[in-house]
Amino acid sequence: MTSASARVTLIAMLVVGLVPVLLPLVWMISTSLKPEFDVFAYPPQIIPARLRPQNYADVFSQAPFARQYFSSLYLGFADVVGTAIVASLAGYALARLRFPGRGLVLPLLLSALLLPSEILIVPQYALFSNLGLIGTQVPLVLEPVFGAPAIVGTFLMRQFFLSLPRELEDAGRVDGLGGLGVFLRIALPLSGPALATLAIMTFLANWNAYLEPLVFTSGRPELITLPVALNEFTNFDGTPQYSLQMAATTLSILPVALVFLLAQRHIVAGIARSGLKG
Amino acid sequence: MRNVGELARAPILALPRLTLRQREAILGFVFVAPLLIGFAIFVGGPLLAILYFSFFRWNIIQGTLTFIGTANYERLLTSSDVAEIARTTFLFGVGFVPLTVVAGLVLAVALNSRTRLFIGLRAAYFLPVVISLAAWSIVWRLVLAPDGPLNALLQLVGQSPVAWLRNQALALAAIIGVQFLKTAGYSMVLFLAALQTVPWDLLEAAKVDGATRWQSFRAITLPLIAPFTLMVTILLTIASFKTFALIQLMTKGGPGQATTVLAYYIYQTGLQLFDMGYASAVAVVLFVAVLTLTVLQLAVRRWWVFEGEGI
Repeated sequence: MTSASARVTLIAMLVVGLVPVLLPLVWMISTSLKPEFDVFAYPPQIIPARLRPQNYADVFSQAPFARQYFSSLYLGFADVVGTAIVASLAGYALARLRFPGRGLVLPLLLSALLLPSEILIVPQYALFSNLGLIGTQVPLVLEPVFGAPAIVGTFLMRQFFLSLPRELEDAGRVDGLGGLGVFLRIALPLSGPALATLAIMTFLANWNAYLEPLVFTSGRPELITLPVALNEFTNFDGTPQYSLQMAATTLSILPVALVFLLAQRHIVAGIARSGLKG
Repeated sequence: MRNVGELARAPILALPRLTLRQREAILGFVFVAPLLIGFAIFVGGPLLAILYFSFFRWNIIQGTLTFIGTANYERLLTSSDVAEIARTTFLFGVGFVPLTVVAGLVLAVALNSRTRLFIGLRAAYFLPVVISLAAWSIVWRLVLAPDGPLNALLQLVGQSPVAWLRNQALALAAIIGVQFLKTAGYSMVLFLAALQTVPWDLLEAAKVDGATRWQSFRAITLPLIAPFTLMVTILLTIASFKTFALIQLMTKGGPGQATTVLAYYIYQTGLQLFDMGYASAVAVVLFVAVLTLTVLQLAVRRWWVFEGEGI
């Protein structure tokens, strides 16, 4: 086999492999534009025989979908801001400041990443319940800012600060800056790229979280976030209203897909870095 | 005036008389404090709490908290349900982890080239990773529905439809497949990063010496990326326990208990039945299992991973 035909075979195989990855998403969009009656029509219609863009309007009128969408957005931003503060402080300390016990902090934090969140969900529920915070969105800000996403973020920031040339900070010290000044005036302003990666990873983790919003909001429609809201479009007997679910799901995936296209490099680098060097 | 002010403040500022080193340590503590305090409250505390409450009958809705010794563990160890659930958890991991490791490696090797087409293909394979598991599960619930598109395709080619999610034997395989398709791109990206660490000149030298691609892959690439392969295996093992949305939205643990894994069982017993002491005991068992598995995998490193001494 010549190398040109080997290459064509390889590409053909890679494209075929994509079918189960991408076809469901094509089907999602197609279903989102069909009347519910046509969802299971046979033979299957990949291009809807009858178009019903009205599904997208129904999503907003049948449920507080705009509010749920907005919740996902602002909880994501709150989480990004909180995580950026907590993680850049801790990451800087772990990279640059010598203090007793420093060597123990990172292994302790990273080992917590091994835990599936279900392990902690019962006592976390009890904790928030005792604080009177179940049925509010407060736990959805507090828990991720100090939980797994913050640990990944801290690790990312630490790796970044380790890679900064020390001379820059030394120059600041010569100019009379104290420890805090060096961090605020020199290290932090340089950490834009690392903070961008952290922001995207944190926002994605928050946008996609399912267990915590389901449990901590008690599933109240006006408090839940998008991933929980998608399943709320049901008939009276609890069976899914597929066309509306697909319209809502399409709307929930849209910003993520856009961010992904624009910031692919950050996302891939963030995942490879936080995953492999752990 | 300014001098007076400074004089007045000076003794207070100088009071601790700290060395540079001590100042740095204090700043270090202050910087890690928010994370560590939050971590202690929301992660460390709850972790100790499951151990403690696993010895109680605990229902937060009824307000009961009674010490019952090891009764929760006895119940757990003698329950045939738990035996089945542990088996399902194990099967999920055994089905999911090797498949995803191998697929990720194959994709990474196949796509390890920086042409525009391949970068596009990589992005396409990676797309499901950024989509929420909830959205992915909801889409696949439609795809696998009894009258859904997959069965329609089967009928079009003359096969009989399959009850993917309602068949005891198939449901687990189906959700493994759905999780696999979501995660293969993640595995691929990790392996792509690993492949970048293999020195190009080694592969070139092998080529000059007449080695085939397969030979240099077996003899050079695979041993060199072994530490990464181990890391990917650990990460995917952890991912294999994070299936809540998948199971909740696709099968609710059914049919029967065919797709109930330990993590889902914790949710069912702890937050649906509010049998929270018992759920804590299940969580302790899962914690010990995850820990043991990780330690075992790291121990494998000793005899499996190429440490890089002397090529």
